Amino acid sequence: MISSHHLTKSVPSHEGVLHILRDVSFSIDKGESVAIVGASGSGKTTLLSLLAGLDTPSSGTVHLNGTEITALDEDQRAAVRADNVGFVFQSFQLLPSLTALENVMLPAELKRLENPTELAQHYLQRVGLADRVTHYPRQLSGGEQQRVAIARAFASHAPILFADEPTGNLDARTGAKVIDLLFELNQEQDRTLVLVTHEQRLADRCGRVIELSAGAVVADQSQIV
Amino acid sequence: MLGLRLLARDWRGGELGLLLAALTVAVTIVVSIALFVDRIQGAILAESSQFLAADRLLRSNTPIPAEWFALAEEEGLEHAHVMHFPTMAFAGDELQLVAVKAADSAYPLLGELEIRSSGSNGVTQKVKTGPPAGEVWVAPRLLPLLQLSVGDNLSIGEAELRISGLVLREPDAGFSVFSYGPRVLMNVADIPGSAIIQPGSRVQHNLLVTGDTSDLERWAQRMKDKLQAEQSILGVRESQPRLARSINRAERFLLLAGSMGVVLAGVAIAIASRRYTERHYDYVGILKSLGASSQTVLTMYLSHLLLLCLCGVVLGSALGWVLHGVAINSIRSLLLVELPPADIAAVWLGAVTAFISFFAFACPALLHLQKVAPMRVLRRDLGTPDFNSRLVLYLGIAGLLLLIYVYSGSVQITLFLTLGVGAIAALVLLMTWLLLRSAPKPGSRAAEPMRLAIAGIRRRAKHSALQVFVFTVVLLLVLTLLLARNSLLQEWRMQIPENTPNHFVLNIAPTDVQPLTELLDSAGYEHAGIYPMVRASLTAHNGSVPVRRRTEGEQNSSPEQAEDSQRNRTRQVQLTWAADLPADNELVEGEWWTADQPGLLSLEQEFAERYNIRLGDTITFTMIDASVDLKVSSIRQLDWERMRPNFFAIASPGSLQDFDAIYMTSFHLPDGDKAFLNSLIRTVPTVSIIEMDRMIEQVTRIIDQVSSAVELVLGLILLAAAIVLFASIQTSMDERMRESAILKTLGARLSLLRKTLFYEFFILGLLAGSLAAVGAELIIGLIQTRLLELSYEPHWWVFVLGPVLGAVSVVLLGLLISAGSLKTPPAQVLRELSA
Repeated sequence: MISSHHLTKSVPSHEGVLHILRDVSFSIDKGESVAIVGASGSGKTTLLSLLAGLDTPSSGTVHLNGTEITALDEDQRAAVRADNVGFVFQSFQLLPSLTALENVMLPAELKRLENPTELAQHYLQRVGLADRVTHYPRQLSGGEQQRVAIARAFASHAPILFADEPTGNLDARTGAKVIDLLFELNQEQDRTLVLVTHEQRLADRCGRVIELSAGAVVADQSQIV
Repeated sequence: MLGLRLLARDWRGGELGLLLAALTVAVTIVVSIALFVDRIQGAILAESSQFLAADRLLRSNTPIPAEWFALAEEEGLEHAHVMHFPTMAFAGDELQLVAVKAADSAYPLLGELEIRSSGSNGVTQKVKTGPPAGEVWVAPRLLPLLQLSVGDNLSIGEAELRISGLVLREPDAGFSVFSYGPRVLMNVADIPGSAIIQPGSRVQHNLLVTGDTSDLERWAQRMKDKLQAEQSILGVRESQPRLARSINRAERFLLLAGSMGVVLAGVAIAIASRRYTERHYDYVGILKSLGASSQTVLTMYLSHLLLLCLCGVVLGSALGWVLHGVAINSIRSLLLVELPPADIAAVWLGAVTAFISFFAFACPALLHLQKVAPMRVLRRDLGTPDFNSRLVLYLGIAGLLLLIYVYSGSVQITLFLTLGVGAIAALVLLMTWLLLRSAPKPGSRAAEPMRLAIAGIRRRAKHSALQVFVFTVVLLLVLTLLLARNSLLQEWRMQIPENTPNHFVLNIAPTDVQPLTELLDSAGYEHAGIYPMVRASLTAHNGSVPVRRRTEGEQNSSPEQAEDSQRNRTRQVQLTWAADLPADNELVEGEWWTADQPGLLSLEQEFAERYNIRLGDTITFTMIDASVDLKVSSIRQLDWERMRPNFFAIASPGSLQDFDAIYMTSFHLPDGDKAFLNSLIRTVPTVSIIEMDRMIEQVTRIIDQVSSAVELVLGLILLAAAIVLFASIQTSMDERMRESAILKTLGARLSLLRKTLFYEFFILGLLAGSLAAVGAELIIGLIQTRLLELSYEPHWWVFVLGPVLGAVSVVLLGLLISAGSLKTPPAQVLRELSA
């Protein structure tokens, strides 16, 4: 479903070239749940951005659902994302001027799916926010906002789900609830889940853990959940 | 469709308000000013046209050929025939010199005659035609002079005409050449029967026409080749150069003001779209991460803004329409004429303004928006594209040029404003940046509001500089406009001050001087000096024939100059002598004579230049068979705008004793004291009186209208300026609020935050106001001397007003905008700003 070959990312800095990722290769199969872990600055978020086609590598390739996205331009990558990728972000990234319902409708509308309203209502109900559909993000708590983001990610019907520190901005209890919801839905919908986290509790719920250190893969282990 | 839905959602979310407000304001300003100026100009021109009682007037000293009337008809023009001449009117044994106006039934083509059917208690009415054949209407003061009353007969030549009314006001009163006596208005049909016009009689024949501008132009073009040297066609501008210049200046001022309004609106749009763009970076980042392409993003935002533009045009046009209506109503009482209907073209102008503003000021920000990288959803700092500031600058300048040109239609104003504002803007930006960078390092007491304020300004140096720049441009435009308006109004007020002499007395014999001055003194009317007049020919300049050259300003010469240019062709000059330099005259070269220095001459500057005469030259004047040589000892400058006797050539006392002189004077006669003229005529029967009071009254009224128009337009511009300031302060609010919220979480009290904001706005406003004062003074120097053709004197008060206005307006608006947010709990502020 996802594969990376000899992926590197370097950026120029004051002290010379800074290598953020060094020769990262792995592949993820359909339906797998993978946690990318590592200390701050190990390159986790950069790796996620390359896998999702949000950024381009210095060298190496990324294949996403059979398409080599590293060979595509910005707009072509956007088209691949629209069909294949859903996101859950640390800072939720909801559009402040849209209601919860409209935020969830957005990817379906961009993909021109039929009945985006019904779809959005279904997923909002599924994350327990049926009574919050007309609320704006500023009227929702952090946990509620993240639940809207999860509903949005699943409503896109994308086979791959990327999550960047999905509990990073939440307290432990709310975070745990959000995680339960995420894995529950993922299992139910049989999606491929790639999440970046530094929380062991969250990594433990994944079938596979890839550990990064100073931009290189130092461990890649499957585990029984 | 998605774009539309998003727009609607965006609107509900309150994101589009400021941008729509800016667009609406732009269109409102343009539409309201365009409509207002258009209608006022129409009204002023219509009222001014009444000076001629027509749109155009053909003036001739010989009878007008019948085919010329036919030609006017062919071009679809209405026409009237009017003859002016002086003659003696008889009644029994009494006789009196009168100024006859003989008109056909079409006169007056524009304006109305005000008449009274009988004596002082009769009914006053306004009529659109003169007396029928066999009747005359006369000036009220003629009746006591000839001991007549309404209904009696008056003899004009061989005709016996019945006095059927009194003429109180004629639209073209200020434009009669032979007004050397009380008016007698008769029908042109009675002229042949009166046998009054003989070969050699001094008669002026006027052909009056009125019609569409294009028809008038065609007619004037066709007539051009047929005119003899002594015949001319006049429009209101040629016939009333003084008034024309006032109107011309007002038009230029209104255009300038309107153009500035458009510039302000452009700035507002640029600021609002920049803010809109910045607030949408995250939006685009998210959309892109969800799979939207750059194309989708661009199309979506383009359609958003185009729709906004349309809304702005509709709203702005409606508001502009209402606003101009309010403005018109407030000065309607000043207008004597029917206002022309509003022209829908103003709405087009508004639409064009909105779309030019949109493409020049909002599009660059939009193009920028589509470049936002989807990475922004993960790393905010990586997702912000570099702003192509050069493109923005070029597009902005191009848009500005186009806007001002579309609005003013004047290359001069376009270049003036763009270059002037551009040059000063660049300078201001540089100076602000340097000033802010080198601002003194604040003291170390942590919670001191002044320290926090300065630190804040320094931290956001680039943004602060930009903000001061916008404040400065706004204040600069406002101050410039204020200065221009002041000098215009002052100039107009000076032109016709109160108690301006409104009656001129000519042909005063030397023996009549004393009785006349005694009469004026006893009646309490102050005169502007009694001047001897000698009409002589300029026959030699340093012993050779004087050579006259055309001067640059001759096209726009004043009435006195225009009249004199005719005389100059025959080198006829009105000479006078005086012991003292007349009031309002200013020596520019040489010295004024002391007593007992006969043989000296003082010349008006332009006159001297026209003949290339210098100090020390000898000028020879001849009258019949006597000549005199005079040495030029001084050159004077005089103010032709003043209504008082002015002379090109003044000789020192004792120089002209070989010539016969007659005298002239002028004095102010208050309204309602007209009967005094009769006692004047009885005391000194041989003098001629020119009554200028009606003309002065008309000029004053038109100037009042123009002044009100100027004030109202200034008001509109001030409103626009306040909105731009508001938009500009609003853009920096997010950052300030975030800082305030953080300070609040750290325990800062509300009063500290308020004081900090106060000082910050105070410093920025004060700086902008000071820079604007300097800039405005520079620009006004240029505008006054080049555009409005007025003299320039520095306005020191601007250097106080500028900083005060800057500080007060920025502080007030700043505190007003931040008042709500300051009270909001910090957590909410931070959450809303990061949401």
